[in-house]
Amino acid sequence: MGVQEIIVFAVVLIAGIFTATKFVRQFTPGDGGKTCSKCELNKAVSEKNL
Amino acid sequence: MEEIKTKNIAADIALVGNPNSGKTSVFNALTGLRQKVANYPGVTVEKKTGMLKGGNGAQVKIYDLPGLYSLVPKSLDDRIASDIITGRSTEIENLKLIVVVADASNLSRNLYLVTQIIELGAPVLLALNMMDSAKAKGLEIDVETLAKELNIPVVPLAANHRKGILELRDKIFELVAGDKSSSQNIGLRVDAEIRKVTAPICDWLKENTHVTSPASCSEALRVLSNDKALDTWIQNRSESNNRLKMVVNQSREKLSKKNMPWPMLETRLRYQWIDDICRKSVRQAKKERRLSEKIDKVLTHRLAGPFIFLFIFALIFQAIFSWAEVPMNGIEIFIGWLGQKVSAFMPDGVLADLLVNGVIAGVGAILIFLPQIMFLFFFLSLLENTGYMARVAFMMDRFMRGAGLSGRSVIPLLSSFACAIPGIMATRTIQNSRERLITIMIAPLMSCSARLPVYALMIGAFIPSIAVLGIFSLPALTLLAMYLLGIVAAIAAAFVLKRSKGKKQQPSTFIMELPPYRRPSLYRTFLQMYERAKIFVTDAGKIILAISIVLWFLASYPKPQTDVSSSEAIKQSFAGQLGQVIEPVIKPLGFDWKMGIGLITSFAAREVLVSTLATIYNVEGADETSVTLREAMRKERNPETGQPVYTPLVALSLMVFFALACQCMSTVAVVRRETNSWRWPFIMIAYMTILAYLGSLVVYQGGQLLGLG
Repeated sequence: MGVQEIIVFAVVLIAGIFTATKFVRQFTPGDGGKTCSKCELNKAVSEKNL
Repeated sequence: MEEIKTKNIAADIALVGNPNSGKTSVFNALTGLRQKVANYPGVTVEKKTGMLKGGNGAQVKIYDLPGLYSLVPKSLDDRIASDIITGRSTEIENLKLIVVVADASNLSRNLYLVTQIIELGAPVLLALNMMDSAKAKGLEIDVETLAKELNIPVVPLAANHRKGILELRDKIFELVAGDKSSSQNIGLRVDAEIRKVTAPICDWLKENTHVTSPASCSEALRVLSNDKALDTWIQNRSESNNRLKMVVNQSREKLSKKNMPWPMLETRLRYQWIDDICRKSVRQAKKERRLSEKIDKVLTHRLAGPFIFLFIFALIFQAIFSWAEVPMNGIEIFIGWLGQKVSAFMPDGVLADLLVNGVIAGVGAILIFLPQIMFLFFFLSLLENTGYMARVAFMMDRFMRGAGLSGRSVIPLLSSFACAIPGIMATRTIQNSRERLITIMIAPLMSCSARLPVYALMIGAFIPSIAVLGIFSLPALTLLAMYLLGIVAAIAAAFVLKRSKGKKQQPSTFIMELPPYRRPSLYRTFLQMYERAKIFVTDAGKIILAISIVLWFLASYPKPQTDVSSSEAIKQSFAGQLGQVIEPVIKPLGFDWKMGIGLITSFAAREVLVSTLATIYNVEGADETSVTLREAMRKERNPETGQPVYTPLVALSLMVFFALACQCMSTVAVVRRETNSWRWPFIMIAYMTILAYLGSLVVYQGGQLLGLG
């Protein structure tokens, strides 16, 4: 494997990690769900009251 | 150089006011931030924070709270603001001053909240905004008399035109620095009889809550007159629920026995006071019929209104196609030139291949559509700032009611034209949980700006530029049809979801005041256009770049063992193998495996479809002369039949799929967050994917049966 291939695979790996991280972060609420702690909808969903 | 010392003053300031009174304009002007502003209520649904710098370098923290009409909260966003102002929430720890922004052209209604806040006893400053609109309406406001009547400082301003902002800033620092405690000593004039009746509630509030003595009487009156106000205390202090309920019921009975109706008692007394203030401080100079009302007679006409709406949007789409053509061609030529230069400069090999066919082709293909996106936001911003979008909300209200939703759902749905995420956040203004959930579920059906590159690519490549009715072109009308498809599908989905099994709840009430038409600020319009372009290039750009690189790898590896053609090589690649697995499922829709790969990658963001196709075609045609994506798609042939892969019917089928499918992971994440469950995001993905598949199937198979293939 030449230098070019090593650089290319490193770039692809970084891009892959970035994409995966972005995906995981999207689905992890940064504030632990605090944003909606007062939300009536949250309560209704958790109580299956819809 | 003189050293400027910045001193942070330990004081927090809250900016409150009625919806659409211009709070965010004042906030932006004071802090230099660029929060979204529009000429309709409900744009701010969460508190925003910024720093306000004084002339001497001192700084205080300022909070922009969601708009509310009264201290009695009706929805989640009302509650955020109400809890902070009344002290039920301690989210703002060091609240030293409440700046109430009031719309001077609607003073009477705005004073309702102002007088309620004054009675709380905290230092209040009235920022009398939209003085220019008041003047245009023929209203002359005597600011000094108003300040005297309310016993608080009043600063007149027109935040839109940045008039009075410096005076407001200086007054804020003056009040914060001057250790001024509550100076208001005014309040509702309540007669002795009512005072006697409310006394037990007053005592309960003083004993069991933080409410101060002067504020407790007006809060007691509010609790007496309004069940929602009563609920706010009951929810917070469950142990003494019964006692408060009992005291309130006894007071209500006493009033009823004396033939004094308790419902709306606070409202009646407050408006008596406000009328008195307005009589002394406001003069109506002329009483001619307002221009806004005259325009509304036409624009919101029951029959003509919807046609005018369609006409305006058809013109906008026409302009998007024709005006954006020159800058788009410019970017296309530049991207092609850049690819050639990089190819010529770099030695042949995988690195050059990655840069040219992965990065430049993938990112470049999507950048071409930037001018169209900017034009779309330019026009949407113009419509929002003039006040026309509020009229669209008013007209859509009729259709939403037909589907069983209230007009409260309309503003979130209109916000979703830009992006479903702020639209879903804006559903917090809907107090009925079921209606809110349904609005969240249908918001992603509204055509967001991320769909525009997909539509524009397909329309530009396969819809002939034929004139229709002399002034419109077929591409513009096709784009309009895609937007209308989203609206119709959303209303139909709401109709079905509303009738599905579930707990019946009281429907929401919705009263929306149509704001007067205002001359849009070009500065603000260009700013919004720039902000959206920045988000598109930086936020979406990063994920597009990353996916283009990963996709280039998947389309280029594993390298074939034997010497085969580039189209055979890509078929044997990881992407090719994956695409061929899903091809049988999407073949009935007219899609080939390359489009299938696009459907998978575009779940990250819809516009990624364009960069995916560009990367695949560039990898495949790497040994040929570089062609644009549109040309590559037109030239694409089915290897078995020799027939074109893309036809106008396939393009239409693909557009319908994208109009109806939930191809956006950020939207799914926000729905997950807002509902705090995985169930609803999965239901949303499932129903939208089925809808998209069926819609696309009907278009493609129906078109073939009609001989349009």
